[in-house]
Amino acid sequence: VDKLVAAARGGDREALETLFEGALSPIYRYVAFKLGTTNTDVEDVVQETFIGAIGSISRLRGDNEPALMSWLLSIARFKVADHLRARYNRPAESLDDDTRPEVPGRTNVEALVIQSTQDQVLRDAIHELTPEQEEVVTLRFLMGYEIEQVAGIVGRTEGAVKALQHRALATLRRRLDEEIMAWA
Amino acid sequence: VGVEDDLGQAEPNPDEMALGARIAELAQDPSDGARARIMAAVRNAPTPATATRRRIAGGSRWRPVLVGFGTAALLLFASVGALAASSDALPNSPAYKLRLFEENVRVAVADPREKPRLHLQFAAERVRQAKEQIRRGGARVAAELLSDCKHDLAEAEAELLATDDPAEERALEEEHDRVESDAVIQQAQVETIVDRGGAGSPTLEPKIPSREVPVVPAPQATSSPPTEPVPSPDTSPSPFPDSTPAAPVDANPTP
Repeated sequence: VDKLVAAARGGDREALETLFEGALSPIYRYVAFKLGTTNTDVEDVVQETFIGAIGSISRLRGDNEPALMSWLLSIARFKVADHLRARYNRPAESLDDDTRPEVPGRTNVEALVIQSTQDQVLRDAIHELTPEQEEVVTLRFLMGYEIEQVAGIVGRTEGAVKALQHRALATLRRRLDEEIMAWA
Repeated sequence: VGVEDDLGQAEPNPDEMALGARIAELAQDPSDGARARIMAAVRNAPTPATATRRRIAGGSRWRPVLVGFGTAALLLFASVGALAASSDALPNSPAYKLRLFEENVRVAVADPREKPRLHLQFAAERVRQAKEQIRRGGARVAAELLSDCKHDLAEAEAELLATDDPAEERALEEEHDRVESDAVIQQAQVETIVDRGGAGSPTLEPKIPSREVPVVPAPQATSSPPTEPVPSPDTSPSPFPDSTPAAPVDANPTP
């Protein structure tokens, strides 16, 4: 991977595309988490992230995978923020919008609502973590990186990443328990 | 440090692992279709212009020389009024080369932190002129202005590296995206005029230059008995470098 990154920085388009192919899943998962998995714009934002990355290859600092992922993640963050800003500025979508996902006919609506509410609580709780904790949780669980890889991307020791992860999960567990108590 | 080390050594307990798995479910992997469409868009995306046309050769060691030379050149131009005359020059004017030269000099003598803003200023001015040209029916001139605008934007993007202040970088990126969006809109206008065969653009070259199809020599007529027909080679030029058909995706979305 490091050789590919070096080649990509040198202008090798094929190397860049190979790297993007490998990074597609983590970046897609990150964008899907930020926008919501049912959002039909996820694909567009991921596409814009990679095309934007082609245009700003000069801003990639470092010749290794952590540098690559850190760079791609920063572009994805920027594109997600742009997308959310545009969404807030857009008029409300029509109720006739046929791009909305269809709900299967025999779905247990009550279970769907509970699941959706719990997802939202967890999502909100993650956004309320400290920036460092949120970054570790995102990289570790949403993007699927190992502790060692997360440490490389965020520029911390593995011990520090484990500590951040531990504190983040404890906070999330506490928040979820509070919500459950509130419902009861 | 001790607390962090203690926490760092601790393995996640089952409850933490379960919560981690629950978090993972908040995201979603791309479908095969989505993956294919995204990668097709990446493959079809144009490589950004490197903007070498505008760059003056030489690195930082030549900077003092360039500064001296540039300052002298600016003074000279200013003294004869040529600078003022060239600053609005259009690509179809002989003064346009003077304008490019002036811009190169201004960039060369500028503080590195000011360079991206300078390039964005040039780009925004070209978009403004392109709008004016489109309004007057000068699609060809507008197309050339927009082409140079892309070089300015690419330069600005490259120069953003020199910006240390994250807030400033963010502001410049927003300005870059704004100018780029404006340029894309004007480019679409130009293409619409060309598609309609607009009166203002009779000499504008088509986007995809026509390629000559190689002539395959006809088989020589001989007196020998007819043989099995030999299929003629497919001489139609493929628009794609490889045989994989490209998916119809928007490779250049508006930021």
